[in-house]
Amino acid sequence: MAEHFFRHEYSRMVAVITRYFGIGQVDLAEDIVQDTLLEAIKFWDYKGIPDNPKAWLYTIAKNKALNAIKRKKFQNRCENETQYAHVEQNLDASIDELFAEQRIADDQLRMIFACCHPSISQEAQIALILKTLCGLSITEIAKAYVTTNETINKRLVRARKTLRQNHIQFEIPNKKEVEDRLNTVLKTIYLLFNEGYSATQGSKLIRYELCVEAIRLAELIISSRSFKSNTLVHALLALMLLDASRFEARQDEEGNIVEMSKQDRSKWNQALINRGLLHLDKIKESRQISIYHVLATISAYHCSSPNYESTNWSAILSLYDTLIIFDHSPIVLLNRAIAVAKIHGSAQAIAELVELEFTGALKNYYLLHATLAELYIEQKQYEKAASSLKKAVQLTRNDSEIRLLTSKLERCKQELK
Amino acid sequence: MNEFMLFIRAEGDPYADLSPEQQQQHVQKVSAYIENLLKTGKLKGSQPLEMEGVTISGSRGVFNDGPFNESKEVIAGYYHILAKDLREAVAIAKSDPRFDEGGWKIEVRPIRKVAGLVVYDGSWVTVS
Repeated sequence: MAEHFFRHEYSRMVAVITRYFGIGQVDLAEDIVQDTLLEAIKFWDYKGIPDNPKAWLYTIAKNKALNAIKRKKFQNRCENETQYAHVEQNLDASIDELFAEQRIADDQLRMIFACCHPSISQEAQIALILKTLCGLSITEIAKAYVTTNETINKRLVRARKTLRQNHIQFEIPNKKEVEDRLNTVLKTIYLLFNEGYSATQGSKLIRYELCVEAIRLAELIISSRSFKSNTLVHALLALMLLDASRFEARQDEEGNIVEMSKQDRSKWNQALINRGLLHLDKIKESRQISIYHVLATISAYHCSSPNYESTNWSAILSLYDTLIIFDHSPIVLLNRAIAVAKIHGSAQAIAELVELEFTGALKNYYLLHATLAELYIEQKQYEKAASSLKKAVQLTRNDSEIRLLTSKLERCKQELK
Repeated sequence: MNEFMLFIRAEGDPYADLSPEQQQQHVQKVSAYIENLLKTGKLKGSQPLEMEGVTISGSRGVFNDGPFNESKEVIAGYYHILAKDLREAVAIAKSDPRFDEGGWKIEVRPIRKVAGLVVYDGSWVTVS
């Protein structure tokens, strides 16, 4: 049985059934599919897994959906009867027709747009995506976000209520809206990816799953006719694939963060790098430059450099200069400072970061202090480095970061003796 | 070889709280277990049972079609297996991957044999 068969079939069936019941009743679709999986394993536990498990599941799901519609019709005798009769008629098609691959993909795409509707809060969008499109259980989502089942459940309930009350359609938005809506979708997918990639807590395994799922969703979008040559989607996919290629090398066996300069580059996943570069290549002629595009290109420079020393820092610095035009945020300035240090020296980078610190925007962000410390160490200003490291330690709760920072602090103290 | 019935008992629904991923892991493990029993010729048959039915009690004239089950525990299905003795049958039951998760009970019962008699084609015949 293929990897994540149940999980992915769960999401596919929920999408298809939601088309018939409407996004307002996505919870009913989820219940039907959950029951379907339970029914299947209760039989397979005695008879083994059948030769065609998909056909099995789809048949059960279809029957359960039909039963649910009959119950609905009975409950609402007077209102909506014709509507339900219509749904029943549509559902009464062959399994091959209902669950044709193309239709499943289309419905999943509709589901992505519905989950990322702007009327739903960002964190609820992600919870909804993980539940309906990735097939994760509430417990698994809570684990990934290091929170309680209750919190996640509340988010889901609220999100479904919003979908119902706002009469949101289970459709790809029309031409006028689609660009805006796609932006929200991509932003949410990138956020999901980042939760996995740079999460400060949670198990490595689950976090990697979040990255893989974010990539899978973007691939789902790019494989549809409407978006197959969309430069934004290609750029985001390139960025996520290139970043994900370094996932294994970013943490050692004890779970400590390994800085890029010290990473074992043979651990970088070459297959992912190649896939990422392929997407970048598709948009190299594009005149539409996005943040994703710039970030992906920076990532590509890192990925294609044989070692840290030979990194093309001047190209990376000029990309950061471009990025500032889009996004003059303190975070971008902070990242840019590393490239500044490589090209113009650490003194110049320190000056820029001290100025940034002075604005107060990042004064509670540990990476600002950690980066400053690194530059001070380069300048052999161990006292200043130690004071920045102490600030950084106080500002992070991530164990592996704390270990890394404390070991650096020890080194500074040694130097000062 | 002797015959045994393994009755799979459960209270509530041990599958209900599993995520799709865990359900898949469960069904894959149990399938591998059944396949192994089949390959080694130890499995004669296995069936899941519906979670409902009736219990008949009383005597003719005063039948009592009572509620199916008074305790929460239900027989979810059975395996009909072949084993050398009770010890081997118990070992087979214990290797059931259901026990990785818990929530299950398996009752192991030897099928009674009457000396000199075997069941043949549904009717009793004497072995000469």
